Amino acid sequence: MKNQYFKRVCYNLRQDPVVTIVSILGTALSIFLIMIVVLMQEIQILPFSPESNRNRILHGDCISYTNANNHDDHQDLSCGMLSEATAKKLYTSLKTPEAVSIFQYPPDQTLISVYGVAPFSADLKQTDDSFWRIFDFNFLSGKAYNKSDFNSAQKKAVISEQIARRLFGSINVVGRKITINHSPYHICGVVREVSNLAESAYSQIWIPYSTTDITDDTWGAPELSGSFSTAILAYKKKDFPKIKAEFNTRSAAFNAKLKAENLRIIDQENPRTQFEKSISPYSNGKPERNKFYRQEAFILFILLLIPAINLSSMTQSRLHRYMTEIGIRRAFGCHRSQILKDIIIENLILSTIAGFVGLLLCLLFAYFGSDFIFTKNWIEDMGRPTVSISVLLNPILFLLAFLFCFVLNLMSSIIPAWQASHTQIINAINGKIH
Amino acid sequence: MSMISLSGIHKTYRTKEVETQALENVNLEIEKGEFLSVMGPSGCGKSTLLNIMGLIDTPTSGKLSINDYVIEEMKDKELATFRNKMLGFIFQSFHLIQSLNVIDNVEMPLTYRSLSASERHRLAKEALEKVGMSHRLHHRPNELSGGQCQRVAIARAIVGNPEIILADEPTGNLDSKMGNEVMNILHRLNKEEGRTVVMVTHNEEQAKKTSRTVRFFDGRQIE
Ligand SMILES: Nc1ncnc2c1ncn2[C@@H]1O[C@H](COP(=O)(O)OP(=O)(O)O)[C@@H](O)[C@H]1O
Ligand SMILES: [Mg+2]
Repeated sequence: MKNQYFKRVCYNLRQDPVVTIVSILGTALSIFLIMIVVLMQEIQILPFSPESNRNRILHGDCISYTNANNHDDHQDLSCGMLSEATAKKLYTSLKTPEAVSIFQYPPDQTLISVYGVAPFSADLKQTDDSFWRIFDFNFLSGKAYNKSDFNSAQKKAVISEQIARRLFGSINVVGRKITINHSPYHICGVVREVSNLAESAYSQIWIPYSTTDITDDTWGAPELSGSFSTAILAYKKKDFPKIKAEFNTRSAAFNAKLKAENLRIIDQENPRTQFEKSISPYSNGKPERNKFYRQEAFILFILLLIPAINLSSMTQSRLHRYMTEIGIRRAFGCHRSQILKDIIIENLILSTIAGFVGLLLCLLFAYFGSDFIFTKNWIEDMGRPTVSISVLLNPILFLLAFLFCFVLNLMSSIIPAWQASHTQIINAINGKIH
Repeated sequence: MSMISLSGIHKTYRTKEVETQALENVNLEIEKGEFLSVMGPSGCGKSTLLNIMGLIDTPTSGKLSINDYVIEEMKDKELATFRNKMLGFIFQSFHLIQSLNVIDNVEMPLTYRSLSASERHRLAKEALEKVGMSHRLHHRPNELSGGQCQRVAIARAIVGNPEIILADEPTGNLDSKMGNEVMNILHRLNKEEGRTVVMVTHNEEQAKKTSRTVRFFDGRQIE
């Protein structure tokens, strides 16, 4: 019984190659487009090295504050990244997480040089030592600076493979000297290139922030804002509510002190999950989930509707050829719901094949054309949005692609299938729909 | 009670321009085990009558009952089961499914019953043996002659062991030799297996050999 579907799909393919191939291509291109849209969102959420722990990371980045007596959360006096002091009070003091890291965000472009090579600019991120515990960098040689290095302000630097090759023509450069912003550092590790899609982890050079005076760089009444973001690693995802609750007590205590300055920090549902961060990047408002879902649903709906309308006329023309068979089957005892089911399953086989082609196109395009799709013009860094294969092979993407195929198939075949199964049998045998 | 009973059957086809009265007040009783032939000039409504009896077309008005079941009271699923179990249709132009081979075509009606694949296969082979086609199981319809196609179509019509066989000009597309073979099969099914057969034909010779002939003219039964 089941292989009858495949038999008929193959038969159809041979009978009507043009219509079948055009509708497969149409579906494939639609799935391609839809999956590009989906991937642009998913790439911000799916885990990949060095942000493999995205599922259990919370982000505490911006802080907005306003007058204590102003109750409108939309009117802030100022908003910005955190100062070290604020980050410590609000986040590093949390007890529930496995680790909390304070790091500079966004990275700075800094002049680097070694003896004998013309100085050039590279992205520099200043971090603490927990940074290396939360993000899983791939060390090609050496290792990261540790807690005691950080505490004693050791001038150690981790550099990316590309920088190592440019400076020394090799990656075995642990112990070599490098001048960063006119100050001498020792290279302690070389890591594989990081995609700037890994926003929190991305840089080309990483140094302990204890070795510079970045912490003095604060503003806002009593030194609330600065250059830092934080990443909080929970033992497990389930701990998120507990961490948020703990944060809320910290933030209430913080507000109580701020009251003396006639200030309060605005609740922005910090710290945020990777998803919440992705829908409100460094904005000074709450993550607007519903708005995001509405927008996304609308875009996907349109992207499905247009091909569905086109495909449905193709399905109809394919069914025309088929009406006699439908009539004969019904004359011998097949009932309507079976016909309906047959048509939909057959179409689903076709659209799954097409969806697979579309998904493949999307993944190839995302892999080889990542600069084209994922470049964000609001972040100016020197990295590239390379996409790792592990993201592209995530089962979520396959599931979503199949889901969209299924919906597209239903949208494009339900009306013709309904018509075909409700045609008077003798008319169907004579090749008519209706 | 008769096997098939039609009373006051009307059928009107309406297209945008014309209204065709295909059947007008047809009253007909067909007994179990009869071999009835239906004759009349082209366009007089013979096929329409057969299609209505075969539950693949609906009368505009009138009452049809088969084996005491009143057809208009039945739902799609019941009708489908009824067609599957009670009726076997044979068309002038065979109407085999081109994408299926001989054995799959004959098995088709059985796929709508809960039978095992091996049981289906056995029954289909048996039906093909009765029509002398068991040596062509894996041929496609387009690899067979017209007479062979019609024999496969007969096998498909009888595979489900239906009480009633409806044949619309079954020999219309065949030469006389093949036509005779098909007629012999139909007579055998009627005499040896006691099936009720209703056949539309243009051939007086064929009609003579049946147990009763009804004649139509312009949608009306005249004899
Ligand atoms: N689907 C249809 N639409 C309109 N008119 C039809 C249709 N089917 C049959 N007719 C008309 O009904 C009449 C009877 O047709 P039919 O039963 O096929 O005749 P027969 O089989 O005796 O040659 C004819 O005049 C034919 O043109
Ligand atoms: Mg006819």
